Amino acid sequence: MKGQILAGVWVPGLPHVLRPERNAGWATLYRGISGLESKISALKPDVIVLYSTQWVSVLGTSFQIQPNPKGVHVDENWYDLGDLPFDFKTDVGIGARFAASIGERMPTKAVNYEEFPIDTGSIVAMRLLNAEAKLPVSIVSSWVYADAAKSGELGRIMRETILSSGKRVVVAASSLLSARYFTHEIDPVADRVSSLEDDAWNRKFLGLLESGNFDAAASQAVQYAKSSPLDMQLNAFHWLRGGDGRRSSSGTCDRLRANLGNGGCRGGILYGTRSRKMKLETINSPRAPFPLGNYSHAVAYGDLVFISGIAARDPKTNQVPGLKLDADGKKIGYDIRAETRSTLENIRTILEDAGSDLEHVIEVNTYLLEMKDFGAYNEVYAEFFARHKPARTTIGVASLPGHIAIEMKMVAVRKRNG
Amino acid sequence: MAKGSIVAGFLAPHPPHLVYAENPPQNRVKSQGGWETLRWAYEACRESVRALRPDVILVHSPHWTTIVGHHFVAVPKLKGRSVDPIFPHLFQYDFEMTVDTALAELCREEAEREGLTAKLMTHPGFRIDYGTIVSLHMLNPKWDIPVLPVSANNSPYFCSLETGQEQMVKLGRATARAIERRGVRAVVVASNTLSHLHFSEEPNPPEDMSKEHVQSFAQYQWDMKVIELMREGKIDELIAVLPQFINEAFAEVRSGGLMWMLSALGFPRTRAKLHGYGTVIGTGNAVMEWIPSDEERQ
Repeated sequence: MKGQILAGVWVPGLPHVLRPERNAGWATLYRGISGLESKISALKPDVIVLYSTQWVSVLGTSFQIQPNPKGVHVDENWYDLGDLPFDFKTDVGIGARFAASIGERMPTKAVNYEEFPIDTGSIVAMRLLNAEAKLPVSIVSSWVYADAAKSGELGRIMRETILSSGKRVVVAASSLLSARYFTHEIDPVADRVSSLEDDAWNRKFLGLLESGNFDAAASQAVQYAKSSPLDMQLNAFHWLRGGDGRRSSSGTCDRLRANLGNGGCRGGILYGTRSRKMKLETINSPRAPFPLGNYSHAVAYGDLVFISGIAARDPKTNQVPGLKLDADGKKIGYDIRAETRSTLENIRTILEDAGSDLEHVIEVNTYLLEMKDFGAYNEVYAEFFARHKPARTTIGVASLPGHIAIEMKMVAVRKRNG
Repeated sequence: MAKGSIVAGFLAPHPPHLVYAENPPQNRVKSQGGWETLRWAYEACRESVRALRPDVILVHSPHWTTIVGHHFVAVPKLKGRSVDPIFPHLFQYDFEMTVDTALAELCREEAEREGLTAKLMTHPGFRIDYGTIVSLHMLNPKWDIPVLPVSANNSPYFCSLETGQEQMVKLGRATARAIERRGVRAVVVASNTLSHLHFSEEPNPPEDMSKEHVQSFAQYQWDMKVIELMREGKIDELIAVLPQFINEAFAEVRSGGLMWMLSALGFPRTRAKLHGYGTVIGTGNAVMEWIPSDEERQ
């Protein structure tokens, strides 16, 4: 049976994406890459072939063929972000086939050594794309002397090898886009793309990928590389492009997000799956108060985000701001202004983690326990929606759960291009 | 406590081939020798280090690359097996090092006084890079002198070369002050090759010296020019040509170790002693030593 490349995937391999609670952009990347796991699983591949820019090789392209690399990795830069345990199953056969095929035309090595230092990019990608290590993987190094042409040729040889192997394969690239890091400590919350010029190039490049125009992306890559320091000269892209026999299929590369000054693509399927069928995505923000019932903070369907009924609660203390209870737990006072503000802040957090914001809200439904609170609620609301005024309905209700005096739900659209 | 001082500086390149060729008990892989001129050069350095009786060896390695700031290892004991990610078939080395953590803390303080971002690496599970290990092994295979590994901040690769090298000058000054405050006799080591373009294929066996030669004549000419300037103590001229050397010979000194070491030594006019030059899969490697004069040590 002829082998098949089912999909190509691009993910940023920095450990920051494993810490979604620290930054909204990191959370978006985390969700984006994690979301790919179910897509990959649905394709029922035999193996993931992973090219990592953080495994740099000198003696040609290397292939990991140790059957079961496992251990705990401590990143040399980002050791403060926590240990990176790993336990992979390697598809030894396909790695050896790659090395044999490439060895006829270019230098290569198959690597099988105990305690070989598996790189952070591979570990991060596998943690999110293949969390339970159900699928075997074949890890490919980034050859330091490969240029765009050689990387493309490597991709083509690997494609031929996959087709002749009879295996169903997902190919994945663990790589950043622009790699101009901040060189001083920053508060993770304040992380953003470090250069506006890089940002513009990243968006332009992603736009070309999103439209499926790989050829245009490849020709732009030369100028892109002159303007921005790119992760391994964007060889991961040339490798992926080489592996794509069609070259011009549609892509769904999602939004760009900051990643410690880098441009990271939010793990989009670049080719292979032609359908753009939308799927439901549940969203729970680690920064917002946890849901008190059997619901998610939000559900996204394509570009639309539906926020659940959210109320006032401090995410750190879990208390309702301004609420006063007597010794028996009976409500004796509340502050509608504090509750409205807390409710809107919680919704803003959830929207951010869903890739949206208050400026992109389409519809608001507000439920007030006491319609006499309308004036105060409306004043605070106006602070949050000063310029943009979504469609809104405010309804007085007979009761609300717990001791809250206000609950709000919203529908928003996701921001395009971050 | 007496004022500390730097008793020597070394340019100590780190190809794992040198450890492989030596067949020390720590390395699991065995060879038939090779790269003797460089290994003999290191033998002379080992004698020099023993004679100098340093309290600590500081090493700046380009294979511990840090993105945010300059990091100093501050774990008292580090041990483990280091497998080289690039040449795993040559280097699978069991290491154990004692770190001068008090000096690490002083280096961090002084680096911050220079306006640099600096950090202590305190994770006990940290995987020290093979460059640090190779240079330290080649200088002191007994590992009986405390060490202080220093990371190579990658700003020279992201900022302009000049900005990056300026940072290394500051880091060198900071290191020298920290050593003074610590009151120790220190050796500072730049773990760098010179010209750094490799061959992509190696002979079988790797130690087949009939296949070993410099990657290009242009690289060789650059290496000789730079070595000659160091041998003659022409530090100003060396610093002037360094950017061109780095760009044209793809020199590994871009990562800053050499500039850091020279700055820590106070940019000595002393002639550097060349213990040996040799190539390793095409890269140019010089093993060199600076003994600062009494005046320079002040």
